[in-house]
Amino acid sequence: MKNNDKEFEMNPSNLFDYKDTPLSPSLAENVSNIETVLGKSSDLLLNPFFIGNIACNLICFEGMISTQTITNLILAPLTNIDPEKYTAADKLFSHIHDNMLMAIDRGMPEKYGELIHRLMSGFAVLLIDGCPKAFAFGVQGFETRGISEPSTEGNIRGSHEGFVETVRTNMSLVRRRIKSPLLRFELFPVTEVSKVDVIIAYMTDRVPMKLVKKIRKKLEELPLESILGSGYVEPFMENPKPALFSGVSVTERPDVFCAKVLEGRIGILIEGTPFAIVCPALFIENFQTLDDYNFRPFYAFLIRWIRYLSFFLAVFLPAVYVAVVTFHPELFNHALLMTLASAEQTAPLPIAVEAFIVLLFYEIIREAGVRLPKSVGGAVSIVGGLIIGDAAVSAGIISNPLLLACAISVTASFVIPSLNQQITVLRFIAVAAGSISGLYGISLLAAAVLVNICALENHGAPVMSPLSPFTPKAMRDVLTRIGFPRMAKGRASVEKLHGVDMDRQ
Amino acid sequence: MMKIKRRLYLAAAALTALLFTGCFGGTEVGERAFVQLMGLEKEDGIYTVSLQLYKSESGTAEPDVSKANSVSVSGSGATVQAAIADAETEAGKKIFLGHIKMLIIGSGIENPSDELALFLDGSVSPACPVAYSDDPAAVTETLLTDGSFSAEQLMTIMSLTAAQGKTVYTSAAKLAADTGVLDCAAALPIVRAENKTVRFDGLTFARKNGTAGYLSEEDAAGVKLLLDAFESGDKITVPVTVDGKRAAAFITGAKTSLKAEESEDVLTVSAHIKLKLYIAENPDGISEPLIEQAVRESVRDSCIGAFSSAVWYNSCDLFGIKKLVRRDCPGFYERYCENAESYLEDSSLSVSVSDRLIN
Amino acid sequence: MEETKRYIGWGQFLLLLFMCRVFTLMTFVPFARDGEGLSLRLTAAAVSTAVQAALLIPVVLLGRSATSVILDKNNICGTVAAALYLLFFLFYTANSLMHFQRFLSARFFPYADSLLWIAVILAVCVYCACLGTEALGRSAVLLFWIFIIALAAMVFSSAGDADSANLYFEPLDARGLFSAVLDDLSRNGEICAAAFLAGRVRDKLRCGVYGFLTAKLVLAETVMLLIAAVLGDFAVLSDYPFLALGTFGGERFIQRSDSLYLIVWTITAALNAALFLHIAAELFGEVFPKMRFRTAVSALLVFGILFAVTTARGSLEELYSLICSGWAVIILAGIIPLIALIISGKIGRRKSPSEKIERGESLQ
Repeated sequence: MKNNDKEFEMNPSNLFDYKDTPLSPSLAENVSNIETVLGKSSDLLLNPFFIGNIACNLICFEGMISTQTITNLILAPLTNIDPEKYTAADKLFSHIHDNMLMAIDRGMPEKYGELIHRLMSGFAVLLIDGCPKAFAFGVQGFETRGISEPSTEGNIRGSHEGFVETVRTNMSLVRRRIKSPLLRFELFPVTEVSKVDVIIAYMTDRVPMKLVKKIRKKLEELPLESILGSGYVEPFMENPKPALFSGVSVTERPDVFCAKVLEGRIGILIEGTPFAIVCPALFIENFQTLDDYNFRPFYAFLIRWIRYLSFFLAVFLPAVYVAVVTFHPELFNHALLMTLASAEQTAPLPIAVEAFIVLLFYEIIREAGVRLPKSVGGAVSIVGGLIIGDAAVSAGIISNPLLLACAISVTASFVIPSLNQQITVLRFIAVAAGSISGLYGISLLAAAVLVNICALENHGAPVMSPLSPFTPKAMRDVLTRIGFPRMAKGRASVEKLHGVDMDRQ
Repeated sequence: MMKIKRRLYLAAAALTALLFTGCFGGTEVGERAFVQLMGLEKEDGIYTVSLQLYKSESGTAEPDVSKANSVSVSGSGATVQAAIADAETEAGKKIFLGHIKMLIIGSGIENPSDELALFLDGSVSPACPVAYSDDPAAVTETLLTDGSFSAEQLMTIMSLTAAQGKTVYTSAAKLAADTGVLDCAAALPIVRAENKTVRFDGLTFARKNGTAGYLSEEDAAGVKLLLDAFESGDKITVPVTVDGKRAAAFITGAKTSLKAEESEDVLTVSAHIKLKLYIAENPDGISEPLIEQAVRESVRDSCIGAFSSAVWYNSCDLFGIKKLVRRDCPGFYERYCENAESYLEDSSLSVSVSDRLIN
Repeated sequence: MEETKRYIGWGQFLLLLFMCRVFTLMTFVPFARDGEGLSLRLTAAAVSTAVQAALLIPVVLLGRSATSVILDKNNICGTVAAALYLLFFLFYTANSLMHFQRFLSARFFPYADSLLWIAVILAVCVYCACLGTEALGRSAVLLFWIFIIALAAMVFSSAGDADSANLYFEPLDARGLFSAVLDDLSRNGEICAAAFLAGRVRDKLRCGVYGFLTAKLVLAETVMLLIAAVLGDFAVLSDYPFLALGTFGGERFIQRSDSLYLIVWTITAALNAALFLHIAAELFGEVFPKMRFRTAVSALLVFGILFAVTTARGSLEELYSLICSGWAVIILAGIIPLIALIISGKIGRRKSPSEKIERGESLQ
């Protein structure tokens, strides 16, 4: 196999409007144009050969194709073609098209744009001299990560499969779980430069087509050069008004993805990232996990309320502590207050500053733990625990009760990882508000956050549903976790929630 | 450009807000002096407050003799607030009244509802108990040294004493309402400090023009029952003697309903008391009905003793008779208000007691 | 592109106004003033509610077209009405905040600078008001549940101290009843907001209006009875008996729970002021269509009013009392909508199908 000629230089003036230019019947011209567009890229493999007296060229990108697959499915059948029977290019083309399968995923690009896109998607492209069309065979063999347990969404009794970076594999994970003819996937490339494959998944009987078209249009019109993570796409799927919380959810789990698609939402799978986007999403879903539906209802009920409580503890506990100690000590009972007073007596810094220091230290340690290699990650926790947990308290810089309050808050935030960003920021703001004006400041912050969340909508679905607008039937899965026999009686759907109008944005 | 300007304004607003830290009057907990006991007396128009403060420097929250975590300060002034401000100077920290365990008023406090306005603005809890002492300063200065008491222990003693029916618990709000708005009376436990100890010794009556009168511990049970102040966990011991034989019963529950009736210009107060009894000791084998009967008689006597001492001899409307008249005899109410003392002195009490034995 | 009009449900409408009433109940209840006893208070609340029900009939009849009819742009009367409503809502917001500030200064922040403190809450209210009626309506639903929990906690903790002997129903005085009703009406300015919110209610406006009146009557009567039964004559001495009710809960693991209730009251205050600021901003749009940053301007005016009242006093206080009086509520909530209803010719003729749709009624 030969590499491309390195005499070609790659500059924009060499580029022509190749996307919509049709292929030429001349093989040499096609190869020349392809080389012009792709320049002297070292991974482009050009393999000219003859079938009889007809010149052909098999083009692919090194590393993108499976050598074994291409040998068995493409090279062997091609070399076994009887050259005496097919002496004309069009007959050869028809024979390959009609009688030789060669690959499950096959295409016939007629324009350079599609041909190059196929090449970059791991297809092997066969050009025949005399034919203005090409064959594209899906023989991808690039290295992918195997299906493993999701790193960000652990569970106990649910599936341990997670999405991977390959969008087609992800599609199969979803299809295996929803074997319904009503499940649709729409795959199309997005972004100007990197042409990333995205897939929209939805149930045709549960989602209005208007919404599907709207989301498709948004994706196709993404003003990005490339998508390197789901976070690139999320802002475009959310409400354009600035908001603290998100109206879309992100998941690494195919079972969660399927559950949401079955509830009438639209899922978006993106090539290159294992995180799928689902919209519209509700705020209350941050407190629901798949394990809730694997446990007994009474236990799931308890755990769910622990999560609700954890959210408030995570955001407000340090702030409430600072506020109450500074402005409202009458809230504590006598023994507790005397304990706090004696502990704070020796601390040299104002309590608000102490709180900021502790929370800041925690964020530094957490960030360090994420970025450090796993081999030294353990050292971070030891150092962090020693520095904050022992040395700072022993030195009298930080008081024990405050440290305890911050530790509880931080631990509580681990219960709801999907809200970690908001919790972290709100925590700091709440401490500031509490230190300035006590429970009054915290209440005002809570009021602003409450109205902010209530104002948020995503594709016509209020994010605070079913709490507000209130939907009594849906509250069964919010206040409690009703049993499956009762849940099975009515199909849960986002459209059935009060105030939802998916035709509205 | 507009977006940048908007962000600048927001940032400026946030910074400005931060600069105003402290403008809301917050005080670090270490800079507060937590008052546990407060004594208040008045002489020659000058108020004297004596405060027992928790010493947070001691590093311990519990009463501890070795750590000496309480300190006593006092102050004087023309008003209660001025006296507290004076005490603040001595304490060296900002006085915090929100955790007062007990308010002890002394002689000279003639108008509790006006002079105890502290709790009306929320700085002292309206539910704070009030007691009376001839020498409030001595009580608050009885600190945690050998054999003495801190505020916590004082409260424990008071709770136990009240549970046994030897005293009653009167809150600042009740005192103010009874002596102020209703122009009636309230019973205050008397607390005395002597020989480095503090003890409760009967009740006195607080009215609009000061405190007067005395009721012994024995009659305090009657006050408790007539006031319907029996709470869950209380237990009044009633020793009885039947034909020379002794026994003892516990009253573990009581519910009293009072009613006022007026007949031919005579006021009659009817009290019906339902008791829950438990026979604690019966070494001489007295039959239960006789014990019950004896307990009922003892309760009746105690109630009559309390009523006579308060209402007849001291013309003290301790039991909210005015409220009863207002509710039950509205036509009589105005005449009663005009001549309350006379009606009280001539009033009669009818006490009926029913009981239920718990085994 | 024309913005799609956003609607709220009748339940959100009900709860939004209900929470405004909860706020005034918390900060406005001097239990017995100038000799007014329990009977008078209870009767006045009931009579006042009946009066409000009658006053709101024109708004109910106008339905979703209430706002457009009352503030008819083609008519000078519409602009005058808009100006009157604007004045009322600005002063009413200032009044609410002033009472709240006094409440907080008396109970929690005696050393805080009151104007700075009002500026902080106004900033939050401006933000909340900018988010629109839907956001405020949805927030009211959530806040309602929080309030119910807080009220239940207050009731359960203090119910043990209730004494039937404290419930004394004095004979009624007819003269006193009239002024008590007017006094109660002056504290129910949120019914003037009903005329504006009516245009945003998706359906069942009647249920929303009368449900709101019923709910607030039940709340007011229950709270007054509870205060009387628990606090007794102490309620007369207390400036804020509703708050004192919470303080009587007794010591458990929390020494005094009145600070906890501060959270509920503050959020309710913010929602209350945000709603009126939002309405004022919309009214500015009617009177001065080209004005920008209307919500911020409304907030600045409210702040100015408060500054003037707290510093200048004198005749301004008289104007203040007049604008926030019961008569103003009667005129704005009842008389002006009635005049608008008559002028529009909508009274006395059968409704057309389009009018029925507009009002969210069934076509059958």
